[in-house]
Amino acid sequence: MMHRKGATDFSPGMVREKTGEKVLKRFPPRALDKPLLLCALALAAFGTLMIYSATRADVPSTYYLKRQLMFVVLALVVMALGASFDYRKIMPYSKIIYVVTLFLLLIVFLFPAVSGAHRWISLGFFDFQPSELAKLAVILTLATFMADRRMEIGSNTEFLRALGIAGLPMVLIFIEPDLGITLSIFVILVGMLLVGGARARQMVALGAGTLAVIAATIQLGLLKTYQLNRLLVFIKPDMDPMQAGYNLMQSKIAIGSGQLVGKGLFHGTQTNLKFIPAHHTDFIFSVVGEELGFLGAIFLLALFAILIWRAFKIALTARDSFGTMVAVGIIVMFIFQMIVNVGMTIGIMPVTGITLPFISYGGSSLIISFFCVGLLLNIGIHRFTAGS
Amino acid sequence: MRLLRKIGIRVNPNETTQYRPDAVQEKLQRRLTILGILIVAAFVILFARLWFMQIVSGDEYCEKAEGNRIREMSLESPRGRILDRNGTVLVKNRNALTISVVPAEIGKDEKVIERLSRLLGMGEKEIRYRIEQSQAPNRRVVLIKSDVGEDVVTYVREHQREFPGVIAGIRPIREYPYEELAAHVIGYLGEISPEMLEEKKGERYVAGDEIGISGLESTYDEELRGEVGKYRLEVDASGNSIRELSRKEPRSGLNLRMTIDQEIQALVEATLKAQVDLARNRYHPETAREYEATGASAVVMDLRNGEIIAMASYPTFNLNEFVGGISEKAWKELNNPKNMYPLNNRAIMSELPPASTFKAVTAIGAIQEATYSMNSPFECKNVFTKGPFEEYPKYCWSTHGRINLFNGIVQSCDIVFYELGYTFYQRQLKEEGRPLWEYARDFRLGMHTGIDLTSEMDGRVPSPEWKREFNRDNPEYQVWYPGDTVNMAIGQGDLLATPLQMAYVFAGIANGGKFVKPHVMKDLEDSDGEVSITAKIETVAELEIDVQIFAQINEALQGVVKGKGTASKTFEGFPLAQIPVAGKTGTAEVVGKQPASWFVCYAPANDPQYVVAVVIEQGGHGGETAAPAARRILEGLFHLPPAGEIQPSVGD
Repeated sequence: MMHRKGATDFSPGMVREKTGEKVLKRFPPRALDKPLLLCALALAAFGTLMIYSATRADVPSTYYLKRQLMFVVLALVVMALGASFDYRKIMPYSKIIYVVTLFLLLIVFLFPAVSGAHRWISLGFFDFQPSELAKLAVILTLATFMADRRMEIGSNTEFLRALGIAGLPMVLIFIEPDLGITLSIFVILVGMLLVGGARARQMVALGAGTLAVIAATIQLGLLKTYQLNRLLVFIKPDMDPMQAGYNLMQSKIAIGSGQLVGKGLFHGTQTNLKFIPAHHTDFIFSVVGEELGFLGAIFLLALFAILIWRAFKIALTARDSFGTMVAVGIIVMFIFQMIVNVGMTIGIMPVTGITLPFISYGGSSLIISFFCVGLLLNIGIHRFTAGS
Repeated sequence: MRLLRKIGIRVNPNETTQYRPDAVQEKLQRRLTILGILIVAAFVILFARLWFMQIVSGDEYCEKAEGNRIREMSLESPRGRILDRNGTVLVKNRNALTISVVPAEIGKDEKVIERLSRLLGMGEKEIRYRIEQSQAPNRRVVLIKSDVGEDVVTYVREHQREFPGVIAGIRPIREYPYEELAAHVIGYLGEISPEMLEEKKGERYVAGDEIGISGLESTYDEELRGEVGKYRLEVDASGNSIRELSRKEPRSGLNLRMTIDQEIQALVEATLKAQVDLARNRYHPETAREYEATGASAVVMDLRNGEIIAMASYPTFNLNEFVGGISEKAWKELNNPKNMYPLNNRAIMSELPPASTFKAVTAIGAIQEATYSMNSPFECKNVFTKGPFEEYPKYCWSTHGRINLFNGIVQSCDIVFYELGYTFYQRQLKEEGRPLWEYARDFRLGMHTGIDLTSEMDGRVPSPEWKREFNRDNPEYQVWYPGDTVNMAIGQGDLLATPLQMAYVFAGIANGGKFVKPHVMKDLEDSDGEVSITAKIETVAELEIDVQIFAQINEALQGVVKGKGTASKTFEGFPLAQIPVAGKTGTAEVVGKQPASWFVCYAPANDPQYVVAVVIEQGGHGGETAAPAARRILEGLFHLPPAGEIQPSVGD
């Protein structure tokens, strides 16, 4: 279990308990990571603007803008919720969260397939995507698991159990199918194992096993042709010039033609004339690259870099291993999605349907992302306080 | 490890209250550092890639984005019309419906080409070939088929959803109301070939353009074609046009007025056809069958200024077959040897021995050399056995008895000209005076006339140098024999000339040694009828030969069409008193073929205006087939009532 010894003599939380200010106890100003919060807000604002630019031509022109603004508000509430309690209280519930998530992942198959995939649970005003939640559930469950083992996964049995925790939802999501999130969870697993105490030889074995699984998947035809094409098309865009290759080509043209300062907000020709597909979701970065140019793209990457840097700080200074591991899981999730998404739009990563956190249009992704930011803030806030 | 520790993220003790054993904390730091390095590396890659795409290759991508956005459509300029000298329109344009594609837009749907292939009745391969061939930016429109039916266009418009990137349009194409008339002079159009495109690089030609392949259409292609206009549209990803960005109106080509007179041209063509038909019913004793009359041609030229009034070649072809691209079947027919190559303009491409028509030149040369005069006496006993010819005797086509040079021309006596030729040979051995071939060259033989039509042949004037060069691989054939000069004297041997060249020779004689370059383009006019270019009247050469000699030859040539002349029977009833005709018959012997019938003349002989040359290949003797055709043409030229039946003159 946790190490509570260090919490005795130096604890600002106790000082504040004396002042009796409840709010301050929950959000001690000194402990709140303001750069992280500002970055997240800036990213959300940036994303909302880009979504508006990408969808202005639609009718009604503010449909996506309004919805995204609503999601942002919702996400901010969720972020506040995520930061409002002592994160360590989650630990006992991680199993329940995990089981509920698995249940939701099964539920999706009861809903009719949308463009060939069972990904959404329809809630009327918006469609909830449990696989987004699954990423978080896996992070929390693995973090609990690793913290319980004091970040030392000694035996192979333990290692396999960790794999199992991530593997179960991965399989369900793969069947949906949603290759992007399946891969995201896998990478989160790898990242957390790396930091969370797996041995080198176990990691090597995992690598070898992964290659075997990939080979088997392709051999057995478990990947649908379009999935395989999309995965490989970035190497040779004319392999599938009709769909994925075309999208990729148009995205590259959009970004490349942005040059240093871009064509100006709302003035992207590739965007406005609908050459970029899914320009408000998967390919939102193309809009950034085209309209705001190299400077805009670098500004966006810089925001992400600051966010990740602050998250690193939080992982290192977390009071306990659970906090560290949650932070690590979130870091890996954000960074993986960002690299794969941006990499896709500039033709160096496969087309996997992974969205750009904070920027791409979509409620589930945004809410989960902000909940994660809330958790990071939470971990930072409570680095001086012992768990209850 | 030390390096990792150095760059690892440090935590100040007052930043946290965490408690972990140092070993665990160190391990965690190390692992997070590895993760951090991976992340930094990923950022560097993204940064580098963005730098490369946006800063280094930004221009290239910009161009592609513009190519995406902008569809360039060309506005075809109507080609200039072609008129005869009196303004009768022989070639005009009409708007044809076309089917074109925008490669970038059909690229998304493989089925489109398949559907298009079925609709147009064209092979998928051919459609793909046309698209690939136009190495244009992917938003340029590529013409697939011209002159399609209205039903095809309607179908495409009504099913545009099934035909993304397929455009139905209008393009002006040629129309020939007179079909075959002057087909060889006008020439046909075809799609520009890759080789021609390479040759015309930098000029206003692009793949898929129509270009003049032969005749005036080829010579004056640039003047006729005008300038293509274009407009640029902004289009969205589905090919819907958003707005027009720019527009440049097309400028139509210049109209070309020919020197050809449509009425005379029609008469000449009909006359040739009629004489060919007559010849095919005439028996040729030597080959014991009817004449084949494989081809015929005629030239009518205003010898004062070199204007070609008519130029005809038989067999001919219908220009309308070439409209919108000739079908493969029709093309094969036109190139089948059995059909005697109707596309060839025989008036400038048939190289034949000029035969007795050349005797005029031999006679002028002999008199100029002062070796003979018009009254020099000869005796024709049908056979020539002088000197070396005792062993290889040469024969005349008749037995003329006692005869002078003047009558030798009138009656086309070969013996007289063998004598003249043999004298030229003896003098050339002694290097006295000028040899006969130089006189042939004086009269512009052995070189093309420079008429403004493509594919004109040079003909051939033999000389000892030519013979050596021609037989450089067979030394035993290089010797110049007396027979070479003697044969040349009667226009046979290795001497070859086109009908146009012989017309040019007689124009030169009629003009007293002045040669005015023949031409077919009279002027080029813009659409308002304003003349912008007028053909130059170009005097190419003036011979220094005594005018008296030309006067004597003129007399002799006039004798050909009357009295004992070789064409006298044919000109019976022709008002020679008002319109004296000077001409010469010729019967060209070609090895392995029936003789070609020549007649070249000019009129009025006292004030020469027109020269007429007629050749019927494998058509008989000169007076027999060609001379009657020439008479018909003269009747037309001088507005005479046509004689009912024209008699063939038997003889050379």
